[in-house]
Amino acid sequence: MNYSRFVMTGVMLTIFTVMVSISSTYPPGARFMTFVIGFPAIALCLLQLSLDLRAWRNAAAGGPDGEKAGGTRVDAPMQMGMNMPGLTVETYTPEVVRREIIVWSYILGLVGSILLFGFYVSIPAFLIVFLRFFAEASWRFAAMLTAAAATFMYVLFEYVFRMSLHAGFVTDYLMDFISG
Amino acid sequence: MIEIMFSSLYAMLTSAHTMGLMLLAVFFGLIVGVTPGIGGRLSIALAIPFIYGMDMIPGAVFLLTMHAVNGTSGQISSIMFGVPGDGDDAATTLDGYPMAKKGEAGRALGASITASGVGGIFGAIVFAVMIPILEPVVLSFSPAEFFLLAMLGITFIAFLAGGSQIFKGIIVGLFGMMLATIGTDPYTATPRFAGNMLFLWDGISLVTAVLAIFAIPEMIALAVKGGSISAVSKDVAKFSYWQLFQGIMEVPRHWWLVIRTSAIGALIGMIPGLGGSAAAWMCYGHAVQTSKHPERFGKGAVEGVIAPETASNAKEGGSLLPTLFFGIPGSSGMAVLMGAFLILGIQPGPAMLTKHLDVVWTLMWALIVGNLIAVSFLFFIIRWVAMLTFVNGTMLVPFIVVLAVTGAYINEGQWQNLVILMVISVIGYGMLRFDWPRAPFVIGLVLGKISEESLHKALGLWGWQFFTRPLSLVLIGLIVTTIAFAVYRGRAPAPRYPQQFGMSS
Repeated sequence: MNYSRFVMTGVMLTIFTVMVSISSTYPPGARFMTFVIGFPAIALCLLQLSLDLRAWRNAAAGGPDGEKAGGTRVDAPMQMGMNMPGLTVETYTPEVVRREIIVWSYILGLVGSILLFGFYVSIPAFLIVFLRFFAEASWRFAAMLTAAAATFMYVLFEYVFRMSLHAGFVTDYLMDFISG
Repeated sequence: MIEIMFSSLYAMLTSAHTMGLMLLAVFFGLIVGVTPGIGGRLSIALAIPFIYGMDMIPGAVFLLTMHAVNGTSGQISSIMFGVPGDGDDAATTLDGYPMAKKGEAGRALGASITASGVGGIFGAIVFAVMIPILEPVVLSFSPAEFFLLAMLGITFIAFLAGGSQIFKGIIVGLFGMMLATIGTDPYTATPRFAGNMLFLWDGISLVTAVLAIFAIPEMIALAVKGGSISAVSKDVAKFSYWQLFQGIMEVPRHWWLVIRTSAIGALIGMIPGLGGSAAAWMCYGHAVQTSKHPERFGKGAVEGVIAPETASNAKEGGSLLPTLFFGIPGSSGMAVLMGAFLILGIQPGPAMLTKHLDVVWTLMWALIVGNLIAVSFLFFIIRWVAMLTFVNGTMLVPFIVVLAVTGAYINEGQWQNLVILMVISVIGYGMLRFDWPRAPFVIGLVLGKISEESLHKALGLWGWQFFTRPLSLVLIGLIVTTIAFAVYRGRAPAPRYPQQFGMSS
């Protein structure tokens, strides 16, 4: 059984319910707008949930919505402007899920690394590792692109914009440790 | 008004800073436009962090030029490789690609680039003509109407997502509005959803949210898909400059079609919810219907290239009108652009006509001058620009991710924005993966604060009676009609345009 159609509706319903609950503790003036938005949103989420349920039942029975069970159906060209044609992930095979997990790990790793070690360490490391192991570029090509991008970034932020990027929470401790 | 109109042009052309930014925007707009998968919205989202600190006019000119130029170069991959850059370019593929396969790529490109440039300029002229006509209408709007316009904007953008998606679109729009309430409440100074986290007291960063909803999810999808963006052999990419010239001459030869499709495109652009790809497809259909030889369409008819390209660029001028004067973006790209305009201090609404008329005229000129530069530029570099389509998508991903992460940080210099970026990216990717529209989120976030202010003002002035004002009733009627029509369209059998014109999808 494919329950994926309920995921986003459930996420949205949870977010609105939690936010409305939290805002109910605020003074009337502060909670007014959150109620104006939140209650209709919760009602719409419940309506969407019922539509999802109906489509899910139809899909299970092999009805007209069956083709939507596994992914996206592009109805009209108008819709193509909303999502990238050809790039929307339509079928979620184990291989696709594996690649999703890998790409997410790279991105979360980049952000975690930036927080800990700062931009100037994390970005070159991310670029070279991603280009070499995910994009399967040669070491030489990956190193060249990384060096060019890191240099461009350093010049842009340090000299052109005169902007200091996050240095990382542990960078100073590490530097102190290394320098003894 | 005439004086401001021409002084804006003079000020723009004589400012080395603005013209330099415009050239930069043309360059990046062309690069992004020609690379399928990196649409106009994403390019604007990535450029937003870099406009911080810029003056209103240079910043707006930079972004609008980039947005307009995206459309001018988007058809290159459609024609040469059969890979549309985005939905707008899909109609061009129907006849452009068969022309390329017949060895007439140069002719198709010459016709499409010229038609695109002419359409862009025509759309800007329509925009200019409409300003004095719209002025009394815009100035008659009160806070009550602006609150309802915000609701109408979300409904229209949700409608763009397709009939069956209307409720999802509205939910996403309301989610954006809900996130806009995070931060200090302007009336009671209560920190809503922020607790002791001081960085949230000013609200969620618009740049971070836009990057999280568009850039990161689209890059993940591109990386997951993997491989080269173009699935077509490089051998197809043949064309000559003589053919290019022949293609350019096709536009004056079909001048009546160009005028008709430009006008239709600009008019469609003015109607929020009908912008985007609709202009291109409707004009393609119009070209087929009015042709003496409709059987040639789909097999390489040059009119099938001219009509959608003229329309899709002409709509940009038209869609600026609701975006600037009513705060209702005409398309998803305009939604992101409007968010960027707010960051620059450009507040859509009547003030655009009373205080910032110079900005309005400068934007109109930017559309014209930007298109002229882009078209002339493209004729020379087209052969090399087209090769970008063969870049492996996974090679682009890390650089765009780095740009997005850096952009999220530098716009406020707060590391916490990186955490917010990741949290909203998860939701954004969920929307992309489960086919939920994302553009309404930006509208909700952008219009959230404006609509809260308008609602409080309207209630202060008229109480709940404001819903019964004549103009309010018209807007409520429009909202209800839009939803009803979307529900009806969602239940009706879906049109499949390519088959309709005898093409396989």
